[in-house]
Amino acid sequence: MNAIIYDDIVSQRNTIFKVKVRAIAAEKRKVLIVNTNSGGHAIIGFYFAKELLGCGHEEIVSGGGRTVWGDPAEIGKVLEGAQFDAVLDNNGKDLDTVRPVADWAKSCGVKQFLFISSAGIYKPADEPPHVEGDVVKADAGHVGVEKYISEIFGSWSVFRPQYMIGSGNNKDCEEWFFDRIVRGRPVPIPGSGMQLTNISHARDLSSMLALAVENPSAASGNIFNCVSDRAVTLDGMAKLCAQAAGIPVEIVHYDPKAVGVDAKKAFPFRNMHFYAEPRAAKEILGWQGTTNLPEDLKERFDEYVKIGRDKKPMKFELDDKILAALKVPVAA
Amino acid sequence: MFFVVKVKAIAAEKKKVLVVNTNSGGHAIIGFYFAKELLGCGHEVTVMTVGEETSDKMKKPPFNRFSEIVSGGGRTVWGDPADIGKVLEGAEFDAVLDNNGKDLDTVRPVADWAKSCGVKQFLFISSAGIYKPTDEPPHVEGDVVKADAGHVGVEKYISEIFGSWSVFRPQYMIGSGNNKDCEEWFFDRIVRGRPVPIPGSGMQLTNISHARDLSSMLALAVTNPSAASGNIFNCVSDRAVTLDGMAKLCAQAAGCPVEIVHYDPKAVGVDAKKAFPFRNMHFYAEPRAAKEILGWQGTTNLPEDLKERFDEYVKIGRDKKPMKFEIDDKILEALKVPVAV
Repeated sequence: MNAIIYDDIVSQRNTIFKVKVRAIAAEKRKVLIVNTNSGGHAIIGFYFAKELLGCGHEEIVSGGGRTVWGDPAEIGKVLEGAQFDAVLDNNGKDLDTVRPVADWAKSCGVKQFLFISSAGIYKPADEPPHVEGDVVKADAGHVGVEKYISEIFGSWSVFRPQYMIGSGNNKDCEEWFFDRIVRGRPVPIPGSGMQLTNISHARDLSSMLALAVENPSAASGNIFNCVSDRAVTLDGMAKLCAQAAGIPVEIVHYDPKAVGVDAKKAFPFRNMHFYAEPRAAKEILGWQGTTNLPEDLKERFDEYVKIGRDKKPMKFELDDKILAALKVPVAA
Repeated sequence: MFFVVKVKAIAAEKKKVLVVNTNSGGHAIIGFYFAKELLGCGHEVTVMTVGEETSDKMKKPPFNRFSEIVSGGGRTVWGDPADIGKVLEGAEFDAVLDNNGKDLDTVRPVADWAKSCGVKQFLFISSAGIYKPTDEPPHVEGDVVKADAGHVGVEKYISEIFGSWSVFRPQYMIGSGNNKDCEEWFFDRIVRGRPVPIPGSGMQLTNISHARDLSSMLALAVTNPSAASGNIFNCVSDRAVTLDGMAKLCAQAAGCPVEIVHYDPKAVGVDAKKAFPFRNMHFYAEPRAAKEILGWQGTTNLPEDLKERFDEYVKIGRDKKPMKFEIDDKILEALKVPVAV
């Protein structure tokens, strides 16, 4: 397949990256990925592009893809003359940002439009997990996009991810835990530590997207929770990271309000149950997840050490504030 | 009390099914719903309850409603599973469900007798409680179980001696005819304006299914033995609920406000198992095998189902029944939480 990654300035790490090369009997498609230039979702476009290209250890360009940069509002100029069968918007969080891309795609005959939304739009519930079809927050920016593309495209699919691990991630995930574990520092976790979250390997998200591109009629008109099919507790993530590192871990729980810190700044995951399941993908696309946190985290830790991040000098100002408030000693 | 059963038009053959049912506890209701569902589908059903018909235990639900099984065309008998051959002398069955034993000593006589008289399909109600606690919920069929759990020995044995076997692992149930309190524990406190003490953070997940979901899963296994055979099925609905969430949903069903109070059982000095009806930990299994292999769909809808349960709770006058809350009082005193008179 031909894939174009279309980024604003992307800083990607130089890393080895394995892609499952699939023998696809499906027709060859031209796919455009409009990718964000930062944040947790940046990695999705990277993995997806490489999966579509079927590249082994090569990066996107050497795998045959094309990378360009520009402003989504000017997409017509940037991609003048190019034609695509499918477009994935992995950038916008609201209609103002996505509309130019969607309108342009529609105007030049793109058949299939895919959108990376967010499982964060589900309304918190007493009855996890979040399942496709559950109520979403009406005022969430992504909701406006989902609605719009469902109105203007015959073939559309929406993907709602949570958190990801994988080489090439733009945003810390497991690293936040490794940073503390390798330095023998306590891991401060807000609340009880029993909150569920979902942490998927990016390859699971890209395989789901690839299935949608290969099976547009099955995928069309559907919302897919773009996640692996297990939850992990916040405490559990700390423990699994420690096991992957082969180092003991000391978990310390705290009440952000009582301590006077903003939990969003102090901790990488939501301080509440936040667990969606990929039921639609399994049922409609025949998708299967491969995320195996115990194994995947070992790989992530190997890379963490290889790039020397375990030796990097770091400050832990928010941690120190929390630990001081709790009077927890930190090994020198 | 009305009991609505979905009558399924099945092209499948009529089967003779035996249910060996426990005489008490949370699982008793399973045999009751299952028997009525099978009868509604035109199968022949015998329910053998452990113990004696005259036992005081038979005055409680679901046993005090076994006339419904009889009027539905079923047969109810009583006896000791160790003597099952005598109790059911001459009877023949296509399928047997053991909804009684928690260990091999108890189930083996039933399994061996069934094998000896040509029963083709053996079903066993095990428990989702045998899963090893995990950092990565939910419990999925195939996950590691506690090797020393009694049910595990049974699961292993029946898999060895029957060509067609299935195992079902349930959690907690609601439904008319329940032998063990579930939602009632919450209603008791909510209608009396008492705080609801919940151990830990209240964020622990559990699963609470309507008994009709369990019986529909079992019925699918009986009508599709080849699909069901050789499989373990988590016998639960497909949503979790937090402990706090259950309290809130019960309060909503009752149309009353609720005051939740969290406590540390150790600090307060109470045994959480006696103080609270559900496990003080994440305890959440999912019915993935049933959906995939049997094409089963759940219908549990806690907000709606709890309204029905509350209506019955009031109808039988339990909201007015004088009650003591000794362990609650101990907890609340330790926390210095006032209780409205």
